Amino acid sequence: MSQATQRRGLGFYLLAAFFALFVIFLYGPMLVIFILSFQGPTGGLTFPLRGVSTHWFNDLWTSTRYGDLGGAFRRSMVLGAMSLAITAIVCLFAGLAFRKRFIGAGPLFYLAITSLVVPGILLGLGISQLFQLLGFRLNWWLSGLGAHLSWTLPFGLLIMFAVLNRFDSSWEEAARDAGATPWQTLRYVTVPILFPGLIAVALFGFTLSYDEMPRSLLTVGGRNTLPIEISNMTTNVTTPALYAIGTVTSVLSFAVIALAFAGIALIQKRRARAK
Amino acid sequence: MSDISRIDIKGVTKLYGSVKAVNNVDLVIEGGSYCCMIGPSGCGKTTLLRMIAGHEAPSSGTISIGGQDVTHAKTGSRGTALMFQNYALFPHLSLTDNVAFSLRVKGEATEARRVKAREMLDRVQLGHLADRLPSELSGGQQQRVALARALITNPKVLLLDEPLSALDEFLRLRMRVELKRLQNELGITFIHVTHTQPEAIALADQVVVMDHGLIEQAASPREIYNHPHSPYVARFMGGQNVLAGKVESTSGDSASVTTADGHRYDLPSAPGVTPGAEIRFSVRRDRIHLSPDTPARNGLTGKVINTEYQGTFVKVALDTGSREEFIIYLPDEAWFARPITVGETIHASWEPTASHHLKGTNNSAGAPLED
Repeated sequence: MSQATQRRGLGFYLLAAFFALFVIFLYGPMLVIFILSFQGPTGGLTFPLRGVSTHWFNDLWTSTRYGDLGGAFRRSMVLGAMSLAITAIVCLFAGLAFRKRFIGAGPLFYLAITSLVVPGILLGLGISQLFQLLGFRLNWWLSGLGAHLSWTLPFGLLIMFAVLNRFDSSWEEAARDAGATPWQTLRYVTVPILFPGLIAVALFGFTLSYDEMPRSLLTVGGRNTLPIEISNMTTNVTTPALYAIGTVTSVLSFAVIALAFAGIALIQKRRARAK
Repeated sequence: MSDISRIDIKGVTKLYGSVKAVNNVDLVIEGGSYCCMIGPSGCGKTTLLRMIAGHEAPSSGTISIGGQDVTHAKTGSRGTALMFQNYALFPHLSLTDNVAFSLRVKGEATEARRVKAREMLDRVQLGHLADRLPSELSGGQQQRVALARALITNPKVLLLDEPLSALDEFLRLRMRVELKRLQNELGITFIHVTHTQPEAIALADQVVVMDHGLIEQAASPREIYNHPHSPYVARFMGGQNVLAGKVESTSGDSASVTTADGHRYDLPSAPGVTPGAEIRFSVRRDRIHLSPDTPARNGLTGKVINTEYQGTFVKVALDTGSREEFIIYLPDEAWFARPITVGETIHASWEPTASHHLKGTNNSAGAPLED
């Protein structure tokens, strides 16, 4: 092995070039949007930059041309937060339950995975039809949330399986052996040990919901979420404000993730100090 | 011997589907004794241990500790503490909090329980590492933490699931001594599951040899080693050769046996056998000596297929035409006085008292680690 790595053959350079292309393809467009959002007041949707300004960010807050952007953003954040909480809690218990081969575990698992596979737009159509049939009104916080959960729950469950793969059930037995009740075992042993994995599940719950579009289109009712609002903007907004909104939402997504990681670090630090 | 830590197991069976992991087992473990359960993997020893701990419920039968029926008592409230094979230390808690865990779930105040936990850590010589996490310790240290965590509950019975199997040879021997000393000090019952014969022989007051969910023999190490119940016990515990033959004649308790290849052997004590019966008997490997020519009785002839120097003795393996190798432990002086080469044909013989009739019928090969 070590001898093979001493001399790099043609394959290495070809693969390295391929990887570089891939990285450019992945982050290039994002970078372009990020740069163009700082376009000068007289600039357009394409290069060259006519000066550098934060004009279009200002335009976002002040202009009325962009519809209910603030409301859409707020709704998407609330939906994301609800998905985060529900996904983390449901996937924790579902993952723990699937460790036991209960009756129907197999079919239930495939049923959950199916909702990952079916086209989102069809699922959204189904949900909206069902709501109309039952006489409920479509609402972003009800039918919209349901549509988002149909996407985040199976995903979170799959991550939970991976997390539980490294969980040794003899920790729970050791807790029981020490006289812990099931609740104490869950609270003092299972959840604390699984906590970093649970954060990952929760974050997926948030980000998958935050940029969900096909399932949302037909289920959010009268008020749009952010991805739908932005998608609408692409058809009728022709200024770099479009890029500014892209930059703002990306920064916010990164901020949420950074906050979560900071939270983990803080908890671990406090734990280390609590000795 | 204290009766409050005596264990009575009556007719205990554990079914997994239709498989009998433990099959109608009766066993008494004296209070304050060191009991080793031994057998190949899948023999039911761990299942039996887990039933005593309350991590599994017997399908039928009863388990009592100190005269109290605990068959269905809750784990952690029956006076047992289990030390897990992989130690199962909580990775997110310091050593102090690991050891204090059982006090925490009982609702003891933080400071009080930490003081007690540190005392217990001092007792296992880990007081200076009280604030570390388990992942920062060596295997031997982790094991001592697991021991401290189990002992802080003041159990009547300490259950150890292969406690030494994860350690290297050197640590294993040291921890073996420590376990024995601890048991003497505390005076509580230790039940130790192992698959290593020397461990069981060295530690136990009572050795329980199991196979296929059944107890083959439960007795003192000396009894097990000198009077194995069945061919399986003799092979599994090691140090024995097992021979088979037909009873030629009996007189009182003694019997005369002829093997398929025509050799004759005397069994001084084989009560109840009848002429014509097929029986098996064992011969201690260290009670066999070489003889210059074919022995008339109580001996055999074979071709040397392997020799192994063991320091205080030499292990000589003979092919005698049967499926099992016949093994002789020769004292090293005898060996160096007349070295034997592989391929040579030699004669061996022994006193009739070295032959022991195997009453039990379990003839499986066993899997002695130390052959």
